[in-house]
Amino acid sequence: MTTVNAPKISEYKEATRIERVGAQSHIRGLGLDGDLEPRNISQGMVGQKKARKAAGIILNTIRAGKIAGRSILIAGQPGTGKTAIAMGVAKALGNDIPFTAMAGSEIFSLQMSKTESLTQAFRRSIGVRIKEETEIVEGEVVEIEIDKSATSGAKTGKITLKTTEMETIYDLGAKMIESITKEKITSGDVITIDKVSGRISKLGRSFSKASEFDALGPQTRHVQCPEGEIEKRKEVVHTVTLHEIDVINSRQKGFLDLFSGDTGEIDSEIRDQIDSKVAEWKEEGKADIVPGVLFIDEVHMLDIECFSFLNRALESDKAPIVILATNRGITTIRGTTYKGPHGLPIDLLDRCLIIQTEPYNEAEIRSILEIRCEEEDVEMTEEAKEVLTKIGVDTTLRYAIQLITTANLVAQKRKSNEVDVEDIRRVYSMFIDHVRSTQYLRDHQAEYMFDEYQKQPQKMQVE
Amino acid sequence: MQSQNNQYLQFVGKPHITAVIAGGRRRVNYTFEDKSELVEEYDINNHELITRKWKKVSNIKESQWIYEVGEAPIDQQSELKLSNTNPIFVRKDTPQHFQYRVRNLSYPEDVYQLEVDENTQEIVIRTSNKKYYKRFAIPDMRRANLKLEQGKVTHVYKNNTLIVSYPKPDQILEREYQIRQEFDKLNKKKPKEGDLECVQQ
Repeated sequence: MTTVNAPKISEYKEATRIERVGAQSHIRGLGLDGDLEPRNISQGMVGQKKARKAAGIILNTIRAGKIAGRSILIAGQPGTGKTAIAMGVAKALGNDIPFTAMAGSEIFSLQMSKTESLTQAFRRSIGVRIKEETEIVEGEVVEIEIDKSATSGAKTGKITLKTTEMETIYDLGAKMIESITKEKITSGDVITIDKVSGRISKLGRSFSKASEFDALGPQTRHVQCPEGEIEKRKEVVHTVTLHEIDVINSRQKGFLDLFSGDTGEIDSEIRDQIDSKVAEWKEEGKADIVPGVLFIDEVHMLDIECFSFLNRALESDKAPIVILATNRGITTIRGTTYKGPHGLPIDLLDRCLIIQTEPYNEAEIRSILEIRCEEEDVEMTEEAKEVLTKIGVDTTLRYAIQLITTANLVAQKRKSNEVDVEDIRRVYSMFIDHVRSTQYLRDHQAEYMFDEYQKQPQKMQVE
Repeated sequence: MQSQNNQYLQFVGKPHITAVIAGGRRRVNYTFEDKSELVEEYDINNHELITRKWKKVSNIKESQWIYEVGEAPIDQQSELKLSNTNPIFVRKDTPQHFQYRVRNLSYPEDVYQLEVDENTQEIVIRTSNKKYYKRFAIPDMRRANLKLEQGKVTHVYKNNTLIVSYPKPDQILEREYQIRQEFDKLNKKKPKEGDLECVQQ
């Protein structure tokens, strides 16, 4: 006898909104078919076929895992999908392969030298796949109960798990409740929870619920109800990054490291020790090295010292695949007075495969806007979409995307669920794009403070 | 040391031993060559073993204490913790028996079935209503290479608690006697809170 607690409608809507929507959150992959041909609109990506196809080839190189230390540069005008392609690659690789994304300026930190930041970034992108014994909780879900406190809004929950021999009830913390709602775990699912990492895996549905065919998709796997104890120690395959291993080992060494936390510099001696230990494990077959991907956006922000470091680091046999992105043309290379294409020195460019991205055409802009509307949960009339596309073509894609949610708020104010042309017009007049802003500045330069055009010092008006 | 037997951590080489009086108990700290640790806490007067916990050092993740005797402190912040309606399994020996208690069990007495699984050298608690199940070994027996015997396990159910007992074999009783002698000698020096003691292996 089991009871199923279906979440109330308001709870359900809330649950699907848990993640804040980011600029590239609609990207689910590169949208390529079996032959690596990019479909026009797929997995959140639109157009940009040449670049996506090239990225797909790189993706397969990464998956094969045999080639280390390649670097790719994605270059193109602002708003042409460079970061989106990198996100596509990340999503397509999945959770197993480490993907580290960073912006060029993150290298500059007061707590660490540039080379240390870069070294840590590199080591975060190399994974070690180890079989490890961890404590897991495995059982068939009998019942899930989630309550929301009326006073604090905090969610509390309980889950009852069973095996063929026993039943246990667990209290759930907030993060666990989120995972459970996200994975849509219900009564009858057989799940495993890693006690240490908190990760939940659905193993399938219990055979005892096999009679509920119509409610399930064709891919549903049926498994036996687990036997024995619910809490077990099992060997799980785990991917840890080299950086994590560095941090753990440097902490265990001395007290002082506790104060610097893991943003402190790590001894190169420790790194050498780890490297030899990992090599040993590899020999013994205990572990596998998984080179991942390091994505550096705005790479023109790095300076000449970083570039020299990159040159050398790429040559190591344990280097990850490095994807760089920039929208600069021929710019000064930071740290020098020379100009270089994309702000990078030629010797680094030589080591890179360059993928060009091009500006989108009108039809593509329209598709992207439609996808973003869906992602941001906004309904829009056809005429409004037309107008918005035109705005995107005349100004920039980003500006048009930002108008989506703002127009939605305006539409809600006049109690409409759908965004119409008048809403778009309103936000267009309220928020100006950079083209109009520049024009306005040109016309009204004299009235702005500290304007370069004025030779005389400005008089400040005092009321 | 196989990974399946990780719980039954053995002594690796000769440990470095220190003892200190803390919180009204005698805490004995063993540190082994591979940096793993064992901590035992004894009641200062009757030398009963209150806690025994192990920590194995791992290169890959943070090490945690594994409790062999006594209860681990509950991590209040943990995302997944046993609800307080669940039965609680604890080991607390008596001078003659290894004893395990399962508290918070509300099912009738005839539900509980106990047996020794000779293949895995574990004691198994089953319930005929399929509500509680536990398998456990006695590490002290494993470490002394002694076999668990069917029929020596006894159990009693009262006050919502199931008490499972297994008699300690002579070998183990001997060793515990020696430890008690050693502690008696140390107690003659009237130790106070915070005192460090020299302990023979």
